[in-house]
Amino acid sequence: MSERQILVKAHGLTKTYRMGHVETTVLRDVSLELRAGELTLLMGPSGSGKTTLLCILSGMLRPTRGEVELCGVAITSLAEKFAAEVRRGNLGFIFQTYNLFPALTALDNVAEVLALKGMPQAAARQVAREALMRVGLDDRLHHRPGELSGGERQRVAIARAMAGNPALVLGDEPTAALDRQTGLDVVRLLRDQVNERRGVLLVTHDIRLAQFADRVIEIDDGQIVGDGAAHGWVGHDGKVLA
Amino acid sequence: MYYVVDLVDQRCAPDLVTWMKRQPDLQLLAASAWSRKTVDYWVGGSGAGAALLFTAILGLFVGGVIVGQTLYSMTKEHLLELATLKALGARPWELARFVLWLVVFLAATGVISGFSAALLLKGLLLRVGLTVVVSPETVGLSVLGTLAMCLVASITSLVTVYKVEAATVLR
Repeated sequence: MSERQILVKAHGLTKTYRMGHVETTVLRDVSLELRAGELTLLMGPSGSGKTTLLCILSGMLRPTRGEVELCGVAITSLAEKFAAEVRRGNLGFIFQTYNLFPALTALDNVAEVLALKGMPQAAARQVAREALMRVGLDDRLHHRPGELSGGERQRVAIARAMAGNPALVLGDEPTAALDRQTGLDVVRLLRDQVNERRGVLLVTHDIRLAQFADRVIEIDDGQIVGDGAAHGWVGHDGKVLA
Repeated sequence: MYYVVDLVDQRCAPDLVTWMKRQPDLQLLAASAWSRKTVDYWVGGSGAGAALLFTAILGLFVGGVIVGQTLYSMTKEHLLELATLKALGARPWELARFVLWLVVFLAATGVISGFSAALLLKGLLLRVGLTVVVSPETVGLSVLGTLAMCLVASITSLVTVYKVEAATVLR
C-alpha cells in the first residue's frame, strides 16, 4: 500500500476562526496522507471538523497553520486562481445535494465541467456520454436533474466527478440525501472507480459505508482520533464499524 | 427682435432682399441658418432640451437601478451553481461570463421593447401630424447607452460572483 502514489500530504493543519475577540479552533494539528488505490472514509460527529478538513485539503480554504500538498503541489501557499487550476486538474467532487445545474441536461452537466478543463465541445459531449453510460444512465442523457430520482442525480454527479479522470475524488456526505439501498449502490459505484491511479475520500456519518472502504479516519473535536483499515475498524467510542 | 424666413428664392426677389437688409430692425436669414437658430433656441435656450436631457439621464439612472437589482437577484439565485463551478476549478472570467450574458440579454430586451414602444408612438404621432425623427445615430447611441448602463449596473453582481466562496458548497 505504501508504494502507491501519495495524492494528498497534509501536515500540522490548524484552522481557527475569529469572530471579534472570540477564537474557535476547528482543526488542531491534523496530519494525514491519502494514496491512490484507497477509498477512505472521514468520519466523526457533527462539528468535528470533517468539512473544514475537506475544504482545506481541496484548496478551497486556507489553514491558519500547516501545509497541504495536493498531487505534489503545495496548494496552501497558492493564490486562489492557481489553487483552482490544481483543483480543476486533479480533483472531482460529489456533493450531498448533488449540486447539478438544473437548467442543463445530464449530458450537459457532465460536458460543462469537461469544457472547464479546456476540452472542445464535441469531445466533451462524447466523453460525458461515455461517463454517463458507465454509471448506467444511458437512457437519461437528455433528462434535466428535476426529471431524475435522487439516486440518478447522484450518479450524474459521480459521472461528472469521474469524467475528467481526476486523481482524487472528494465526496461530502454523498449518501445522506439517499435512501439506504440507493446510498449503498452509489458507494458501490464509487468503489468501482478506485484504481491504482485514483483515490476517493468520503466524508460520512454512515458507518455502513465502511464495508466498501479500505481505510477509516476518525476525527473528533478537530483532531484525528483514529486512522486504520476499514475492515474490523473499532471506532473511537468502541463501536465496531465493519 | 423679429425673424423673417426667406421663403422666396433670393434671385427672384433681389429688390425685396436689398430693402429688407436696409431695415435696422430686421435680420435676414437663410433657411439653414434659421433652422440652426431655431434648434439652438429650443434645445438650449428654452429649457426643453435640458428637460429632455434630464429625462434621459433620469431614465438611465432609474433603468440602471432596476437592471442592477434584477441582475443581483438573478446572480444570488444562482450563487450555489456559481460556487459549484468555482469549486470545480472555474476561472473568474468563466463565472463573470454568466453575468455578462445576463447583461446582454437585459440590454437586448430593453432595446427591443424600448424601440417597439417608440416606433408605435411615432406612428401614432404621425397620425396627428407630428413627425418624430429617429436617426441611425439616435438608434446607435441608444443601444450603446443601454449596454453601457447595463454594464455599470452589473458591477455589484460581478463583484459578488468574483467573491463567491467555493467552500460554501461543502458547508
